[in-house]
Amino acid sequence: MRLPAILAGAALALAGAAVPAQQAPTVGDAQALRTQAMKNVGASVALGAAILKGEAPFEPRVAQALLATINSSALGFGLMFPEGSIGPDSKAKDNVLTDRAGFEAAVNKFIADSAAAVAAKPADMAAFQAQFGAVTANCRACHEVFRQPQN
Amino acid sequence: MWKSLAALAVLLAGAAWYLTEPARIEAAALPPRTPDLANGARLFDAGGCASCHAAPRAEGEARRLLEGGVRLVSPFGTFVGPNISPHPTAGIGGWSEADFVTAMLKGSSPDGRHYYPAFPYASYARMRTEDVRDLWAFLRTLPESARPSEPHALPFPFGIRRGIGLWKLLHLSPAPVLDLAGAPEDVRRGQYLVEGPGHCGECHTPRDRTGGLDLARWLGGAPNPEGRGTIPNITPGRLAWSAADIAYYLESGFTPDFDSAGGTMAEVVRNMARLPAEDRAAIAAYLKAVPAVAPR
Repeated sequence: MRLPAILAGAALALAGAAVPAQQAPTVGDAQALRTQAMKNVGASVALGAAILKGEAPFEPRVAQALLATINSSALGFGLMFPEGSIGPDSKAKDNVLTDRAGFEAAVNKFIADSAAAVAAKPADMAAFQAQFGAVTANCRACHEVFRQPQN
Repeated sequence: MWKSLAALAVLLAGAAWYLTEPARIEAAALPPRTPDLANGARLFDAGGCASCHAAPRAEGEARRLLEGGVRLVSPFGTFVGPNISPHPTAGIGGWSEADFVTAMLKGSSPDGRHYYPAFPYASYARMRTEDVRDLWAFLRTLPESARPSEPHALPFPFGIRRGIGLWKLLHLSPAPVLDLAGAPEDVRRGQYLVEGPGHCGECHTPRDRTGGLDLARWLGGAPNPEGRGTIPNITPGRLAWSAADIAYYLESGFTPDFDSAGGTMAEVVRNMARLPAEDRAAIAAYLKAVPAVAPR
């Protein structure tokens, strides 16, 4: 009974990150692709935070979907910074390219932590909180080093 | 005529020397009192001391070991945060309370030299003396580190400290930035935290040609001193977040869209997260009340 409402809420949260069809990024526009990938992560994190705050009910399939969305964005993220793709209006710092090893290590950790969360299939709020916390710790750890201050 | 010019030059040099004499707060000006260590701990977080004086990217207990080493790259060269642990020789354990109060409120060292304003004493100068004394008492409870402080790497002429005395004449003042008399208590508490220990303006306000803050554009955003990009305008002229959004961001690093704070702001959030919720709420209330600076 409540599931449709929950799923509708989840859909709305994810829709907040959606891009109108005519503005969708295209293969070859690395900056647009990775920006949208991160917006999708943000929408999933927003939903996870709402669940933890009690603003949305916990439902295992919804939790699984948002963790899988985060993992999905993480999987391709390291491939979206080819040489020369950090222009003057990019929010990425130059060290993404000059410290390639460090950047890839950070992305690999994000992939591993989000994959572990998906594999753990958290069945209750406590389990979800633990997994979600481990995944979202990656946000600050990476952004602090590789992102411009203006978020 | 040349003799008159020479005499004038000597007079001006003497005046400059006199005017740039580092100020001191004497122990006699500090009456005996029992320090409030909990308040000192709170100011340690509000002031962000660990961000420059603990090891780079220190977490948890390591943030209490103020061994120095953080590098602040600027257009004037690279500053290196010193050891301010209570170690008697490698740190500031040999200092008196008056030495510390002088450093924080006047930007001068115990041996009478000016500190570079990369140490944000131009903001700390707005702190209450009692709060600085509480912070001193708290710092003395922290662990000692024997790590030697490193010198700054500053090209000529920025290595000459005496010139800072002239800068201080222009830019060092304990006066509040904004006149918010009659504002609600949370706004005034936020004002104290932001304009004083929080030293937010040091990054978020643009600077004029003398390197001082352009207070007409207080918190209106500035070029990133450490590289590309900008430090945001956090006045209502640009920041449309609610007070609750701002307070949540300071606690979690997440924006209303759940983007995550980047660069140095991540480190600021580490400190802000440790404050009581009422302090973050006060900072948010102040930011909603500051004059709007139009985006450039």
